[in-house]
Amino acid sequence: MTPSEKVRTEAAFWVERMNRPAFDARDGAAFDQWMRSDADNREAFAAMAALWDDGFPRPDARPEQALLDGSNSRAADRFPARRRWVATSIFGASAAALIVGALISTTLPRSYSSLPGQQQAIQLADGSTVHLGGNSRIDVQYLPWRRTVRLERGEAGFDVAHDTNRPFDVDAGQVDVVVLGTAFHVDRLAQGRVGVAVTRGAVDVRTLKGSDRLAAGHAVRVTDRGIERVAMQVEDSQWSSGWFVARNIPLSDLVEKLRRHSKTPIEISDDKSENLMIVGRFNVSDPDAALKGIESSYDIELSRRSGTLYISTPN
Amino acid sequence: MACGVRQDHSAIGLRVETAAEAGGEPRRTDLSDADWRAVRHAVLAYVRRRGHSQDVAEDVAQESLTKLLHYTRQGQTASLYALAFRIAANCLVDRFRGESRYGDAVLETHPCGEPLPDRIASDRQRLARLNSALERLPPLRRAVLLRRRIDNQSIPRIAAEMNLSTAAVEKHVVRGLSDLRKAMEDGEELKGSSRDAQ
Repeated sequence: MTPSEKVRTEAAFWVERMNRPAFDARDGAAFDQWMRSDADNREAFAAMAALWDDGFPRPDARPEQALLDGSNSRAADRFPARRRWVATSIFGASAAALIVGALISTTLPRSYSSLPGQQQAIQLADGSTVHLGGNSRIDVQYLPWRRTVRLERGEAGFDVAHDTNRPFDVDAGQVDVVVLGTAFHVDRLAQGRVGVAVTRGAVDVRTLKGSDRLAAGHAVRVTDRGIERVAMQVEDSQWSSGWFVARNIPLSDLVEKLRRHSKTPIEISDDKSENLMIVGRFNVSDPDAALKGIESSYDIELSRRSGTLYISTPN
Repeated sequence: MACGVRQDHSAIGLRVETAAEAGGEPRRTDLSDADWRAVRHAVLAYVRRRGHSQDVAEDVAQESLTKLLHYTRQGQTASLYALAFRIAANCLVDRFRGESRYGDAVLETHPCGEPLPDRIASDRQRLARLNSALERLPPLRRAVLLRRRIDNQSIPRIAAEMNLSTAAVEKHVVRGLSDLRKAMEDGEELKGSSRDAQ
């Protein structure tokens, strides 16, 4: 049984809608109505959602990139092959440009920081790599018996070279993450809260109030109440893609995520907004769209004054 | 841990669809049994389409409905179906962590649950079909669709960068997806009627 062209097109429309950073309540109601009305619609949507969620193979080369860039640049038409090479190696080139050959010959701490919207790959002396998120800063100190990274602000992903004799630890304020060799992500949120997600190996998360050993696939949120296990979602393991899933977290944490990407400073004006609990999936790499989504779903007001964006609750 | 799929089956204890079909418990939500059945069938169809077995589909549908019931009791959701699909997708992530259908190699230390050879073969066929369908799309449509899906770019951003209207971008994505799905269906039909073509 193949669905009609019309049903298939409608299913495609809804799949695209449902994968936006936020959708409004009217869209939700219309979608439910459409799904409820016909078993063919449900079947078509299920198939389309599976096609979307399975993902497409990333093409090794994108010939159309040259074609498209051609409209902006004549040179592209004349040097299509070169243009293609450029297009396909954007990641490689920028990563290479950003990799800092951090050959730490001394034991002095060394700082790395990034601007909003900018991400950096940092190669450390022992072969460990740090993927630094936007608007973030780390201090690295390598001693003969210990490797320490202090996450001053923001977030970072770590892929740590195994060295039994030299533990690697990440100090994120009230939270200390100790590892031997593994890949994980540490995220400093608002008011001292910290998120930790492990994609490979195992780490110990230590706080004054206790500790927890996390294996691959485990994630925690550390708040003033202690360490809470949370389900790791696909967005958490691919955090650098810019998607973030808010699972009933305060708005201040979400704003902290937006600050990693926003070139405009964002401030929350009152406690009520700060503690507003948010649920949703947001493209934090597009702060304006994400904020619009939040504004349309929650009772907040956005205002711009002298180059700063303020979030407040209407009285 | 990835293998615990079937083990906690009995431990769940709460069979949403059984309770609904038996008509025993009074419902606290305003959803009818027909609604719940429709949601369940949609989730089943989705998991099967993702290439998983009927067993996995039943488990995921069960888990999704249990969570869905929990969420709907807590309060209003913008969309019941959207939430159901989101939960089901997350269940699959939890079960098959790090295993993307066409993605990276399975880790050496991966405990178990390696896909069976027939699934690998059928996934390869699907991938080949998907690739050729992608190639057959008009270049502009393909470029728009890949930006939207692979690079996760928003419609307004694609519109601005490619000098198109947002309506045009949206249309390209929808038509592109629809074309891909059609191509996959044609392949499934051929296979289903066990013709030797292709």
